[in-house]
Amino acid sequence: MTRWILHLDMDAFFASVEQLDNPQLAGKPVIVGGLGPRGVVATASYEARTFGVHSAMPMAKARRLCPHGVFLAPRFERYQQLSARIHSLVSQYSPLVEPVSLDEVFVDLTGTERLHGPPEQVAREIHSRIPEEVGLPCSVGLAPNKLLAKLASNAAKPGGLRVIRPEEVAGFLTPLPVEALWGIGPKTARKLASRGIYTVGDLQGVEASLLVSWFGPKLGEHLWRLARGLDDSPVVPLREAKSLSQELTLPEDVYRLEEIQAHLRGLTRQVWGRLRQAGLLARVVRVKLRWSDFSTHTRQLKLPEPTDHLGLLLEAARQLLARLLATREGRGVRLLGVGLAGLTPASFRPLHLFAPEEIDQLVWGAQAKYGPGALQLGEQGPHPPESPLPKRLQPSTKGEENHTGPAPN
Amino acid sequence: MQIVCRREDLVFGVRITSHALGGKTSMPILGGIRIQKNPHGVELAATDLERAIRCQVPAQVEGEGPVVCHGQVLAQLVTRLPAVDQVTLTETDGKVRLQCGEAVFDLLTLAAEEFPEPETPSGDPLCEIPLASFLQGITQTAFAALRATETTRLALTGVDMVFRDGTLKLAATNGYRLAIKRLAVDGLPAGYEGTFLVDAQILNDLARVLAPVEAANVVIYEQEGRLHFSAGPVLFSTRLVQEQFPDFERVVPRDNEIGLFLPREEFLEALRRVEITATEESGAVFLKVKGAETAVEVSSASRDKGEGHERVRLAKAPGQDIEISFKAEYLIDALKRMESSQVALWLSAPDRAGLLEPAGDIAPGDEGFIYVCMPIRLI
Repeated sequence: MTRWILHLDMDAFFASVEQLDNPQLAGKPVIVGGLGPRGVVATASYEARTFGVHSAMPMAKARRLCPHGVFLAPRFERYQQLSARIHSLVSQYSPLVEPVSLDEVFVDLTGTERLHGPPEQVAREIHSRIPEEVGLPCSVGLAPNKLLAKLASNAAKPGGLRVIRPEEVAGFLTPLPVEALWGIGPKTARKLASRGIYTVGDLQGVEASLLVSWFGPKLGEHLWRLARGLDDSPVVPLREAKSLSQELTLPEDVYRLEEIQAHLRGLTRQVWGRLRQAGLLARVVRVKLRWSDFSTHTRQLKLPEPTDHLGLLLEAARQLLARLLATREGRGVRLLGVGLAGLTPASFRPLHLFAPEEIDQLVWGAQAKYGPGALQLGEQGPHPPESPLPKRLQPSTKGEENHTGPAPN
Repeated sequence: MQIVCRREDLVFGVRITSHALGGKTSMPILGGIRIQKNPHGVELAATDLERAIRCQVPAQVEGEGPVVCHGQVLAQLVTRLPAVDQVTLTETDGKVRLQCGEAVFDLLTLAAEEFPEPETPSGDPLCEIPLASFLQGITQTAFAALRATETTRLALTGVDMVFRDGTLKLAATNGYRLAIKRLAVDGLPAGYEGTFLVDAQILNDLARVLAPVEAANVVIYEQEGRLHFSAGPVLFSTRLVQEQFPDFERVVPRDNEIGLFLPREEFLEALRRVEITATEESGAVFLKVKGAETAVEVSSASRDKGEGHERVRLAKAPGQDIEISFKAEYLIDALKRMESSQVALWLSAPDRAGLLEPAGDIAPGDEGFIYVCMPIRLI
């Protein structure tokens, strides 16, 4: 049976969200990323791309290229909220939905025909429903596997829909440069170019044994399969993910304890949001910290029970940070990360004696209904152990503070 | 210094004090057992700075000492000595010659002047508690604490000891269950109130140390950040955890009206069986009871193992229907440490804490014990 995999890729996602939320920005070059001295572009709108701005570019360079651009810090919780809507929309067509990042998702449509009609029709439906219902532009690729689906959506950008039927695979692949293939990096591409191989068609002409002698058995075989558009990797739903994590490279080294703690709380809230969105509980909490001298340390804790309680996760993250900071020796913090592992579907919830579920539900409910930051946990220094949850609930109309630096788009 | 003592007495003293030997530490002296003369013979002492254990050993002593031997070496050696009555220890030139029957060992020593002097309790004791009930109190609470690997915050890894109104209350929790034991104590000054947090692992060690001691009572002294426990020839001192234990009285349910009166052994065995088919992630078992029936259905199910059902009879009908889930392990942990033939599990709602306590003819070892367990909410 032919597999049908759909790849949905939002166009300039962060920038498009900013344009959606602030219509005055429509049609203007919008650049989202770290605004500090070491900041990097996370996303540039198509208007900004015409000036040569692209993601991963240093922000200072982007400002030179596009001095009239609108430069904004990312609002991850808002992106996450819209990402959740996109996720739930595509989930109506298949239970097998794998989010790759906030703005990219694979959907396995194999065998959904009886319920939802032919995959091509579903792809067209998704392609038109996303802009209509979420208000954001997207590109959609539909193909017999993930590799080809991603190539298809890429070919459809911006705003298009591209279907690759099994009989079209060869014709589609042959003219592409080898770098277009998922998993061929600049190094491999250079090595291939030095042997006169530039296009996928060129690569198809190379015998498997020769590829193996050039690249070793593993990569050699992989390249042979890539060249033919062969890929049998499954679409793995998020609830089967092994861990969730959120990292933040700080625009500049941070020394103030309160500021480090505030960033940690922000990251914990983000990763908690993803945990709740995916319907999971976590048993292991990790905190990663990179010092200004680039040495990197990770500490983790295994909790007595799996949980999705923000208060308990914040408490664990705070303990781990305190332990990492014990070896601070005057250094600043360059990168912080919070990870959750030991994930299990939230089909049950162990209730805690000292951390009531109600407050957590309230925060989550408010976030889902009114957007991020509808309720903010007022937090301060160490709180007494009998209440892992901060005492104050502060209403706020603002989004999260801009504590998020550049992140991979 | 020369010491002549009974082999059994030496074995006892070394075994007791070796519980306080420091493990791999940057201070080798903490791996030593100090032997020095005292009015009753010799005193053996060891400490890892968290705790210190001293034990009196009857002996004939010449000279003063002290001398510090490698604790692990001494501990291994004394348990394997030939079965003769008497042991002689003689200190000469930085070594200790141990003679027992035909066995002769010259053991290296550590620098006695580096041995940290354990604090000695002074003044009046705080109170006295029958040793057996104190040990039972530790058994029924320390298990409920959070493991040190589950937190870096120490408050919940401790057992809270609350002295008030002529009683000692021991309490321990991991956040999901809470064990409380109330013990009658003697000699607590009128109006005295004091709360001390002791690491649960150290308290377990204390119970192991005191279990073989022949003494009616344990005498407790309190002194500047330490507690001392004295029973028979043993004095055990521990540092206190300087953290705030949660207000546990607040979470004890007071008005749970649905009482399940269960035969303890049968309930325990049923849980141990039904736990097998519970899901690995939650370990949840369901309890289901109809108000008019005198039996509770205990069951579990998991996608990859199957399911199990069992009925456990109740002494009387609970009057109301209820369905609730608990982690089997948490109920088993408490039930297996109880002694009464009947227990009562008091419930109110599926998302409210249950209260487990001894019922019917309460066994002496269960007096003053209650256990609070949070349910698992199934979604």
